[in-house]
Amino acid sequence: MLRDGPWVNTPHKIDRTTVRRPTPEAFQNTVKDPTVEVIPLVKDQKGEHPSGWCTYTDAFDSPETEVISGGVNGKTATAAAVWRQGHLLHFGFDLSPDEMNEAGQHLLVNCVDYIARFTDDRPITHAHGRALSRAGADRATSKPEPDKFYVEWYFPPAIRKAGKVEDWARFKEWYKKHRPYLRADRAEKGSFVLDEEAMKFGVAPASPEFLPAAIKALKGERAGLAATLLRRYAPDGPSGTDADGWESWWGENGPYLFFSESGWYLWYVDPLAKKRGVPSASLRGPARASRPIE
Amino acid sequence: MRRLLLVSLALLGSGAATQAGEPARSDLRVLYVGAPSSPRGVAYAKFLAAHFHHTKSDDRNGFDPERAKGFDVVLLDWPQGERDVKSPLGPKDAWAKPTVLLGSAGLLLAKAWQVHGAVG
Repeated sequence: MLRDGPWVNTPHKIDRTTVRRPTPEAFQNTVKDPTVEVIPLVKDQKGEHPSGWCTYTDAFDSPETEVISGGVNGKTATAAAVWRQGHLLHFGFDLSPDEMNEAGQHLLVNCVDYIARFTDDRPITHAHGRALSRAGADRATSKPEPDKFYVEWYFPPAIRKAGKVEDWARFKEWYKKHRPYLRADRAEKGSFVLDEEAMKFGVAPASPEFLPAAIKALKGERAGLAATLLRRYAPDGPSGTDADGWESWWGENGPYLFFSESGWYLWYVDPLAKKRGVPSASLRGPARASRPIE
Repeated sequence: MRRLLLVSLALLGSGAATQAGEPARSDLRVLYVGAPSSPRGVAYAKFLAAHFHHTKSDDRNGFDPERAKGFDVVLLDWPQGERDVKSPLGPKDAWAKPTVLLGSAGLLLAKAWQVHGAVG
């Protein structure tokens, strides 16, 4: 669960000797092995320790986030215990150093050393409240029978009605067809709405083709629709509907743009990538450090 | 010159590990912001001093972000159950210090700053 990266060796070489533990109940829907390999981080491996905090990694769809380590938890096998967003490093193991063994202490020291290098990176996406992800809805709709809790979690009444959820097979087909035009909505507390205007426009808002297509459309018959969609999905772009202004913005920012579902289904500019003149897609993980990793 | 060279080597020698292969203490300047007088705060102070030449502890309650100037990294220790969910580090956009968020500090700061980390 400890990923390879500078934190494994710098400044301390972490002992990655593992032990096997029973697979946590929360992992068992995805991990079929009855045991998992873990690196113990505590001296007293049989004692009770405070529960820490793990974070669902579905939300990590922006360039300034990276997972360093998972951990045994009561939520899911893919949750992150140690991870970074910008210049913030989350060390979710809630331990006093006195409780940590050498590997635990070394991991913490290495994390301090690692984050010290990120003097320019910052959290980018806005995450007030929880915008549900389509990956989660994919899981919910992959089941042979509907799980009422998750169906209602992802799909508010209007969507369930539109897709005729009472016929599960039919709803799954409806979901597949309309998926590119679903987005999380604050009024629905992060559950999905169908963007019928985006459907009418015909280009999925999260696709790389969307912004150039919408900007081009500002000069045509669908200018009004295009302007509405640009305001909705690229609120950091120019105000107004001036096509030249949008084209200039696109020319300036194209390589640095990324789409985030967890950031409420919006296009964002990666400021660090733009500052360095490196496409955002190429600027991930340790490459975002301001001080190089030796 | 020879004496100077020997002194330099000796200094290098003293900066080297107490055990062969172990890194020396780091020159990073590290500030712990939590409950310094608590057993955990005391443990963190001792631990950090063992690994970093320049460390200091400060109280999270009433912490002035200006006091982080001069440090390279801040460790924020902020347990769940606290009534006040206002960020001890001040507003997000004004905070430029690389930070390690210990335990549930990440959850609480995520809620205060509306960044990732509040869902888990």
